[in-house]
Amino acid sequence: MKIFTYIEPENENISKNSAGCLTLGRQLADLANGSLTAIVPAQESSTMQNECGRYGADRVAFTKNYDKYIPEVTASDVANILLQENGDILILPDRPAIRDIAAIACETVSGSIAVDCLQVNLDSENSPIVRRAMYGGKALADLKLIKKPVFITIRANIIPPQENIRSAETINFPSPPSAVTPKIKINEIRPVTSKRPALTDAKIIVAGGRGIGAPENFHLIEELADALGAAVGASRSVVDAGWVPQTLQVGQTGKTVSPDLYIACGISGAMQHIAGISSAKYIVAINNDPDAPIFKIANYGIVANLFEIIPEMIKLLRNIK
Amino acid sequence: MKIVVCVKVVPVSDSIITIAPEKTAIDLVNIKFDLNPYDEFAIEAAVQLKEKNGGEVIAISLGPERDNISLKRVLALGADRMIHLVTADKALSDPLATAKALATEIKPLSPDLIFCGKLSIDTGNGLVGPLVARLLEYPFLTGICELQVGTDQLTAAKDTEEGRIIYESSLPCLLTTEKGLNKPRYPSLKDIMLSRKKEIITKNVNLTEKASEIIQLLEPAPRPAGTILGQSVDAVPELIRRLREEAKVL
Repeated sequence: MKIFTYIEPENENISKNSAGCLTLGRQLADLANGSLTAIVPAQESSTMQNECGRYGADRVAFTKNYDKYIPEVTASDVANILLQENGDILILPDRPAIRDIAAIACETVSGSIAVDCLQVNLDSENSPIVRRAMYGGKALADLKLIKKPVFITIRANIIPPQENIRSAETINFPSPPSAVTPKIKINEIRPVTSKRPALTDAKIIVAGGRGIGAPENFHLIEELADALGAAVGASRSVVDAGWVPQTLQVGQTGKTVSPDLYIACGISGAMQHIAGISSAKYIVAINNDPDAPIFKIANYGIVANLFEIIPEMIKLLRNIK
Repeated sequence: MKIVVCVKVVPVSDSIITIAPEKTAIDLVNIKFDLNPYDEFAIEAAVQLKEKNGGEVIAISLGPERDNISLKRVLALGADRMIHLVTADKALSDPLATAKALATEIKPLSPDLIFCGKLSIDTGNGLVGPLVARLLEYPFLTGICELQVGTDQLTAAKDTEEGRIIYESSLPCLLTTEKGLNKPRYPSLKDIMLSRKKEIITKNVNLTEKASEIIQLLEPAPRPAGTILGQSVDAVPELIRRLREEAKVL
């Protein structure tokens, strides 16, 4: 069985979620007596080659063509490699741009696809069975992916990378240069000014809800986040009220997150919000309403006014550092 | 300008989801259905363009017969007609099969623009839009939060982890809509009255070829009962100690 992992380059190296995907790919390859090949959408790099080997890749293919924001080019390379190699499974780290790549490549090669998966197993015939959330996390589904090649994207921060060191060899593909001419081009990139981590990748998230009272109080959430090196999130009600941008919304109609620690401040815990944080490892709730549903799912709770609790947390956390 | 909007009817986001006894579907008793929230931005974008430039908005949906009630709202929101591709519930879990059925219906219409919601909140895939685009050989952009449409090209913005990217595309094109693109309207009484004269065309479709299937649905494991550490700032040192020593997340 031929298993492939799509690698997301990050700061001249491979991203942590890509290393997690290699770890999963190695486990499946060992189960099925197969091989694991990393597909890296970048110029050849010995650093990335070594890192792929460190997490279990037997081989590395650098696709060389790469435009981070235009999925068609990378998708065409990925599809070519899977076709030429007769690949069975491609594992990718989930994020919106990579979902687009997976969708295009899957349609090109007539495969099957499941996104944002939490687990992958093989059945007795070595067909992949994936587990993923549905209804925003209110249910889990086990899906059998029938048509090969199979495309599986894995939710961020779900699979911890494990070393399985081998010396990965580089392979070349006679990839037709510029096989596609994208009909889409980029006019402008307006970079984010915030130095905080992205919500979907963050190890710690501090989120604010209606309990913060007014938009001018949201800086408290940001200060606590900065004291922890965390990302900032928000509930639907504060986004709908226009207090914070939509990009911060966590929940069924916002982002599904899976941090190690989620600190919910003044968030009551509406069903659609809870669904979006159900794969967080630890949840802390700070709310002055002892009956708020958030306390039913929180590991630790403080029933008190967040305007007293948050400054005290910031003070203690700064002392620790 | 001819615009197609793909919509889906889903359980509303405050639904309590329970698994049906046969384990491959959810229990439909007491579930309220409505349009997928992201599709409302798609409908609004299409209707605004029609109001500005003239033309026609055709909505298409694939789903079971009961969706009919919720789909009437698409007409009240400004679509000129609605095509309902009627299929069984279970057919809907396979994004490629869904996309093929939609693309087959859309192709003869050859629209200038196709709008879909960024994803549907039931399956959470966000795949049908891109797959329809590929099947029709349209360029596509996912999760757009700004849009300007000219006569033969458009610019659209999308927010990513690194910032806001402004794209340009030729027409025709398929766009999937993110929350914040616009403010979906509430239909007036007049809109609702007028929509009664509009037509919902139903066609039965059979999705035979499947690339994936549901083996079972499960309830998520309940989270272990938590601890209330206190009612005042006195609880903060204990919280931080537990996060460091017990949870080991700080």
